[in-house]
Amino acid sequence: MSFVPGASMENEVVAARLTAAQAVEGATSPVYLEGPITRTDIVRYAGAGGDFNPVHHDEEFAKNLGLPSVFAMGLLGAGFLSRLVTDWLGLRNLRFFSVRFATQMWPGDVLQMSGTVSRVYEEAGERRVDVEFAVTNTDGGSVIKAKATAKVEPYAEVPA
Amino acid sequence: MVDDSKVGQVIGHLCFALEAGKIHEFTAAIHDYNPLYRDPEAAADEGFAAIPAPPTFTVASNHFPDQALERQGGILGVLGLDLPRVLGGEQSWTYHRTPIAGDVLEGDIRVAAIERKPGRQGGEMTFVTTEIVFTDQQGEPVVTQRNTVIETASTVGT
Repeated sequence: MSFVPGASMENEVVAARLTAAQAVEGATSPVYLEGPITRTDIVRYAGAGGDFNPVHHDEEFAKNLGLPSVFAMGLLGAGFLSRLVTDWLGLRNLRFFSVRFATQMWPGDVLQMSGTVSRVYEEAGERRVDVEFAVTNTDGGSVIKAKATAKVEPYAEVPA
Repeated sequence: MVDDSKVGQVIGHLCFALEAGKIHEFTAAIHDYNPLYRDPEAAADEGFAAIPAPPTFTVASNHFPDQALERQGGILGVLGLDLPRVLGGEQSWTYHRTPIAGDVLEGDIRVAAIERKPGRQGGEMTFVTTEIVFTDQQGEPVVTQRNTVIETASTVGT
Protein backbone atom coordinates (compact mmCIF):
# COMPACT_ATOMS: atom_id res chain seq x y z
CA MET A 1 0.00 0.00 0.00
CA SER A 2 1.32 3.45 -0.85
CA PHE A 3 1.90 5.91 1.96
CA VAL A 4 -1.23 7.86 2.78
CA PRO A 5 -0.65 11.04 4.80
CA GLY A 6 -2.27 10.69 8.18
CA ALA A 7 -3.16 7.03 7.75
CA SER A 8 -2.75 4.83 10.77
CA MET A 9 -0.50 1.81 10.67
CA GLU A 10 -2.93 0.03 13.01
CA ASN A 11 -5.02 -0.67 9.92
CA GLU A 12 -3.07 -3.90 9.49
CA VAL A 13 -5.28 -5.49 12.18
CA VAL A 14 -8.42 -7.08 10.76
CA ALA A 15 -11.06 -8.62 13.00
CA ALA A 16 -12.38 -12.05 12.05
CA ARG A 17 -16.09 -12.11 11.25
CA LEU A 18 -18.34 -12.89 14.22
CA THR A 19 -20.11 -16.20 13.60
CA ALA A 20 -23.50 -17.31 14.90
CA ALA A 21 -21.75 -19.83 17.20
CA GLN A 22 -19.68 -17.03 18.80
CA ALA A 23 -22.57 -14.59 19.01
CA VAL A 24 -23.49 -14.73 22.69
CA GLU A 25 -24.24 -11.93 25.11
CA GLY A 26 -20.97 -10.48 26.39
CA ALA A 27 -18.89 -11.57 23.40
CA THR A 28 -16.31 -8.89 22.67
CA SER A 29 -14.68 -7.64 19.50
CA PRO A 30 -10.96 -7.20 19.01
CA VAL A 31 -9.70 -3.77 20.07
CA TYR A 32 -8.87 -1.38 17.24
CA LEU A 33 -6.62 1.62 17.63
CA GLU A 34 -6.71 4.70 15.44
CA GLY A 35 -4.43 7.68 15.46
CA PRO A 36 -2.75 9.84 16.46
CA ILE A 37 -5.35 11.99 14.67
CA THR A 38 -3.72 14.56 12.40
CA ARG A 39 -4.99 17.77 10.86
CA THR A 40 -4.53 16.04 7.52
CA ASP A 41 -7.01 13.35 8.63
CA ILE A 42 -9.49 16.08 9.50
CA VAL A 43 -9.09 17.97 6.23
CA ARG A 44 -9.29 14.76 4.22
CA TYR A 45 -12.57 13.89 5.93
CA ALA A 46 -13.94 17.40 5.37
CA GLY A 47 -13.45 16.89 1.63
CA ALA A 48 -14.76 13.32 1.62
CA GLY A 49 -17.74 13.86 3.87
CA GLY A 50 -18.69 17.45 3.06
CA ASP A 51 -18.38 19.06 6.51
CA PHE A 52 -16.73 22.44 6.03
CA ASN A 53 -17.48 23.94 9.43
CA PRO A 54 -14.29 26.04 9.87
CA VAL A 55 -13.99 24.94 13.49
CA HIS A 56 -12.60 21.67 12.07
CA HIS A 57 -10.00 23.04 9.64
CA ASP A 58 -9.32 26.73 10.35
CA GLU A 59 -6.95 27.05 13.32
CA GLU A 60 -7.44 30.82 13.55
CA PHE A 61 -11.22 30.49 13.56
CA ALA A 62 -11.05 27.81 16.29
CA LYS A 63 -8.71 29.86 18.47
CA ASN A 64 -10.90 32.93 18.11
CA LEU A 65 -13.68 30.84 19.64
CA GLY A 66 -11.44 30.10 22.61
CA LEU A 67 -10.57 26.56 21.54
CA PRO A 68 -7.00 25.26 21.89
CA SER A 69 -7.01 24.15 18.23
CA VAL A 70 -9.24 22.69 15.56
CA PHE A 71 -10.97 19.44 16.53
CA ALA A 72 -12.15 16.45 14.51
CA MET A 73 -15.70 15.96 13.32
CA GLY A 74 -17.57 13.40 15.38
CA LEU A 75 -18.41 11.67 12.11
CA LEU A 76 -14.71 11.11 11.42
CA GLY A 77 -14.62 9.07 14.64
CA ALA A 78 -17.81 7.30 13.56
CA GLY A 79 -16.13 6.49 10.25
CA PHE A 80 -13.04 5.10 12.01
CA LEU A 81 -15.35 2.99 14.19
CA SER A 82 -17.30 1.72 11.17
CA ARG A 83 -14.18 -0.19 10.05
CA LEU A 84 -14.34 -2.31 13.20
CA VAL A 85 -18.12 -2.68 12.81
CA THR A 86 -17.92 -3.97 9.24
CA ASP A 87 -14.81 -6.12 9.73
CA TRP A 88 -16.42 -7.84 12.71
CA LEU A 89 -20.10 -7.94 11.73
CA GLY A 90 -19.96 -7.71 7.93
CA LEU A 91 -21.20 -4.78 5.88
CA ARG A 92 -23.86 -6.88 4.16
CA ASN A 93 -25.22 -7.94 7.56
CA LEU A 94 -25.50 -4.47 9.07
CA ARG A 95 -29.08 -3.42 9.73
CA PHE A 96 -28.61 -0.38 11.99
CA PHE A 97 -25.77 1.82 13.23
CA SER A 98 -25.99 4.79 15.57
CA VAL A 99 -23.41 7.01 17.21
CA ARG A 100 -23.64 9.45 20.10
CA PHE A 101 -20.86 11.98 20.44
CA ALA A 102 -19.64 12.53 24.02
CA THR A 103 -16.52 14.70 23.81
CA GLN A 104 -14.40 16.23 21.10
CA MET A 105 -11.45 14.49 19.43
CA TRP A 106 -8.30 16.61 19.12
CA PRO A 107 -5.24 16.37 16.89
CA GLY A 108 -2.81 13.95 18.54
CA ASP A 109 -5.51 11.82 20.15
CA VAL A 110 -5.30 8.06 19.82
CA LEU A 111 -8.67 6.33 19.81
CA GLN A 112 -9.35 2.89 21.25
CA MET A 113 -12.43 1.11 19.90
CA SER A 114 -14.20 -2.07 20.96
CA GLY A 115 -17.63 -3.69 20.92
CA THR A 116 -19.64 -6.02 23.17
CA VAL A 117 -22.67 -8.08 22.16
CA SER A 118 -25.59 -6.96 24.31
CA ARG A 119 -28.41 -9.09 22.87
CA VAL A 120 -28.93 -12.07 20.57
CA TYR A 121 -32.38 -12.63 19.09
CA GLU A 122 -34.45 -13.59 16.06
CA GLU A 123 -36.11 -10.88 13.99
CA ALA A 124 -37.41 -10.72 10.41
CA GLY A 125 -36.39 -14.36 9.99
CA GLU A 126 -32.77 -13.61 10.91
CA ARG A 127 -30.50 -14.33 13.86
CA ARG A 128 -29.48 -10.85 14.98
CA VAL A 129 -27.13 -9.25 17.49
CA ASP A 130 -27.21 -5.85 19.11
CA VAL A 131 -23.71 -4.61 19.86
CA GLU A 132 -22.60 -1.67 21.98
CA PHE A 133 -19.40 -0.01 20.86
CA ALA A 134 -17.21 2.34 22.87
CA VAL A 135 -14.63 4.74 21.52
CA THR A 136 -12.30 6.17 24.15
CA ASN A 137 -9.65 8.81 24.05
CA THR A 138 -5.96 8.93 24.97
CA ASP A 139 -6.94 9.82 28.56
CA GLY A 140 -9.56 7.03 28.71
CA GLY A 141 -12.51 9.39 28.42
CA SER A 142 -15.55 8.43 26.35
CA VAL A 143 -15.58 9.98 22.88
CA ILE A 144 -18.34 8.05 21.16
CA LYS A 145 -20.90 5.52 22.29
CA ALA A 146 -22.37 3.55 19.42
CA LYS A 147 -24.86 0.78 18.75
CA ALA A 148 -25.15 -1.60 15.87
CA THR A 149 -27.63 -4.29 14.88
CA ALA A 150 -26.50 -6.99 12.48
CA LYS A 151 -27.52 -10.35 11.16
CA VAL A 152 -25.11 -13.15 12.12
CA GLU A 153 -24.40 -15.97 9.74
CA PRO A 154 -23.07 -19.48 10.35
CA TYR A 155 -20.32 -19.01 7.75
CA ALA A 156 -19.76 -22.45 6.34
CA GLU A 157 -17.29 -20.64 4.11
CA VAL A 158 -15.18 -17.88 5.53
CA PRO A 159 -15.34 -14.75 3.37
CA ALA A 160 -12.02 -13.48 2.07
CA MET B 1 -32.91 30.86 17.45
CA VAL B 2 -34.52 27.76 16.05
CA ASP B 3 -38.11 28.12 14.93
CA ASP B 4 -40.17 25.38 16.64
CA SER B 5 -42.84 25.56 13.94
CA LYS B 6 -40.41 23.79 11.60
CA VAL B 7 -41.11 20.43 13.29
CA GLY B 8 -42.62 18.07 10.72
CA GLN B 9 -41.64 20.36 7.84
CA VAL B 10 -39.53 19.48 4.83
CA ILE B 11 -36.61 21.94 4.73
CA GLY B 12 -34.84 20.68 1.64
CA HIS B 13 -34.06 17.82 -0.66
CA LEU B 14 -30.86 15.89 -1.31
CA CYS B 15 -30.07 13.88 -4.42
CA PHE B 16 -26.74 12.19 -5.04
CA ALA B 17 -25.34 9.53 -7.30
CA LEU B 18 -23.13 6.97 -5.56
CA GLU B 19 -19.85 6.70 -7.44
CA ALA B 20 -17.04 4.21 -6.88
CA GLY B 21 -14.50 7.05 -6.94
CA LYS B 22 -16.29 8.97 -4.20
CA ILE B 23 -16.56 5.79 -2.12
CA HIS B 24 -12.82 5.21 -2.59
CA GLU B 25 -12.09 8.76 -1.42
CA PHE B 26 -14.38 8.42 1.60
CA THR B 27 -12.96 5.07 2.71
CA ALA B 28 -9.43 6.47 2.45
CA ALA B 29 -10.53 9.32 4.72
CA ILE B 30 -11.76 6.86 7.36
CA HIS B 31 -8.63 4.68 6.92
CA ASP B 32 -10.60 1.66 5.71
CA TYR B 33 -8.64 -0.08 2.96
CA ASN B 34 -10.92 -3.12 2.79
CA PRO B 35 -10.78 -4.45 -0.82
CA LEU B 36 -14.58 -4.53 -0.65
CA TYR B 37 -14.52 -0.79 -1.36
CA ARG B 38 -11.87 -0.98 -4.11
CA ASP B 39 -12.22 -4.24 -6.00
CA PRO B 40 -15.50 -5.23 -7.74
CA GLU B 41 -14.54 -8.92 -7.36
CA ALA B 42 -14.11 -8.58 -3.61
CA ALA B 43 -17.49 -6.83 -3.53
CA ALA B 44 -19.04 -9.66 -5.58
CA ASP B 45 -17.63 -12.23 -3.09
CA GLU B 46 -19.77 -10.53 -0.43
CA GLY B 47 -22.82 -10.60 -2.69
CA PHE B 48 -22.73 -7.00 -3.94
CA ALA B 49 -23.50 -6.20 -7.58
CA ALA B 50 -21.16 -3.16 -7.40
CA ILE B 51 -18.77 -1.47 -4.95
CA PRO B 52 -20.76 -0.93 -1.74
CA ALA B 53 -20.81 2.22 0.38
CA PRO B 54 -19.46 2.06 3.97
CA PRO B 55 -21.96 2.52 6.84
CA THR B 56 -21.67 6.29 7.31
CA PHE B 57 -21.29 7.19 3.63
CA THR B 58 -24.70 8.77 3.14
CA VAL B 59 -23.50 11.78 5.18
CA ALA B 60 -21.54 12.73 2.04
CA SER B 61 -24.92 13.74 0.59
CA ASN B 62 -24.14 17.03 2.39
CA HIS B 63 -22.21 17.81 -0.77
CA PHE B 64 -25.38 17.74 -2.86
CA PRO B 65 -28.08 19.98 -1.43
CA ASP B 66 -30.75 21.32 -3.75
CA GLN B 67 -30.17 24.87 -4.94
CA ALA B 68 -32.60 26.50 -2.54
CA LEU B 69 -30.95 24.75 0.39
CA GLU B 70 -27.49 25.69 -0.81
CA ARG B 71 -28.44 29.37 -1.12
CA GLN B 72 -29.72 29.36 2.46
CA GLY B 73 -26.49 27.93 3.86
CA GLY B 74 -27.41 24.25 3.99
CA ILE B 75 -29.35 22.50 6.72
CA LEU B 76 -27.87 24.56 9.57
CA GLY B 77 -28.63 27.79 7.74
CA VAL B 78 -32.25 26.89 7.01
CA LEU B 79 -32.76 25.89 10.63
CA GLY B 80 -31.30 29.20 11.81
CA LEU B 81 -28.59 27.53 13.87
CA ASP B 82 -25.58 29.59 14.94
CA LEU B 83 -22.55 27.67 13.62
CA PRO B 84 -20.04 28.52 16.42
CA ARG B 85 -22.53 27.13 18.94
CA VAL B 86 -23.36 23.90 17.09
CA LEU B 87 -22.09 20.46 18.06
CA GLY B 88 -22.84 17.06 16.59
CA GLY B 89 -25.07 15.11 18.95
CA GLU B 90 -26.19 11.83 17.45
CA GLN B 91 -26.44 10.20 14.07
CA SER B 92 -28.10 6.95 13.05
CA TRP B 93 -28.60 4.90 9.93
CA THR B 94 -31.20 2.20 9.35
CA TYR B 95 -30.26 0.05 6.37
CA HIS B 96 -33.11 -1.28 4.26
CA ARG B 97 -30.32 -2.61 2.05
CA THR B 98 -26.65 -1.72 1.56
CA PRO B 99 -26.25 1.21 -0.86
CA ILE B 100 -23.92 0.48 -3.81
CA ALA B 101 -22.21 2.41 -6.60
CA GLY B 102 -24.75 3.17 -9.31
CA ASP B 103 -27.51 3.98 -6.86
CA VAL B 104 -28.99 7.46 -7.18
CA LEU B 105 -30.26 8.24 -3.71
CA GLU B 106 -32.62 11.05 -2.93
CA GLY B 107 -34.81 12.16 -0.11
CA ASP B 108 -36.51 15.04 1.63
CA ILE B 109 -34.91 16.46 4.76
CA ARG B 110 -37.65 16.50 7.38
CA VAL B 111 -37.39 18.10 10.81
CA ALA B 112 -38.29 15.22 13.14
CA ALA B 113 -37.96 16.95 16.52
CA ILE B 114 -36.84 20.11 18.30
CA GLU B 115 -36.18 19.78 22.04
CA ARG B 116 -34.77 22.19 24.59
CA LYS B 117 -32.93 21.12 27.73
CA PRO B 118 -30.96 22.98 30.39
CA GLY B 119 -27.20 22.84 29.71
CA ARG B 120 -24.69 21.52 32.25
CA GLN B 121 -22.98 24.92 32.37
CA GLY B 122 -26.24 26.83 32.49
CA GLY B 123 -28.21 28.25 29.60
CA GLU B 124 -30.37 26.29 27.23
CA MET B 125 -29.37 23.60 24.78
CA THR B 126 -31.47 23.04 21.67
CA PHE B 127 -31.55 19.58 20.08
CA VAL B 128 -32.67 19.51 16.46
CA THR B 129 -33.27 16.15 14.78
CA THR B 130 -33.66 15.79 11.03
CA GLU B 131 -34.53 12.64 9.13
CA ILE B 132 -33.99 11.65 5.52
CA VAL B 133 -35.37 8.48 3.96
CA PHE B 134 -33.10 7.89 0.98
CA THR B 135 -34.83 6.05 -1.86
CA ASP B 136 -33.32 4.59 -5.03
CA GLN B 137 -34.28 4.98 -8.71
CA GLN B 138 -37.13 2.48 -8.17
CA GLY B 139 -38.46 4.50 -5.26
CA GLU B 140 -37.48 1.78 -2.78
CA PRO B 141 -36.08 2.88 0.59
CA VAL B 142 -32.34 2.21 1.02
CA VAL B 143 -31.19 4.08 4.13
CA THR B 144 -33.04 6.12 6.74
CA GLN B 145 -30.61 8.64 8.22
CA ARG B 146 -31.30 10.62 11.38
CA ASN B 147 -29.10 13.40 12.67
CA THR B 148 -29.31 15.35 15.90
CA VAL B 149 -27.32 18.55 16.29
CA ILE B 150 -27.05 20.54 19.49
CA GLU B 151 -26.99 24.32 19.67
CA THR B 152 -25.32 25.24 22.95
CA ALA B 153 -25.93 28.42 24.95
CA SER B 154 -22.43 29.74 24.24
CA THR B 155 -19.73 29.03 21.66
CA VAL B 156 -18.29 25.51 21.75
CA GLY B 157 -14.96 26.73 23.11
CA THR B 158 -16.25 28.46 26.22
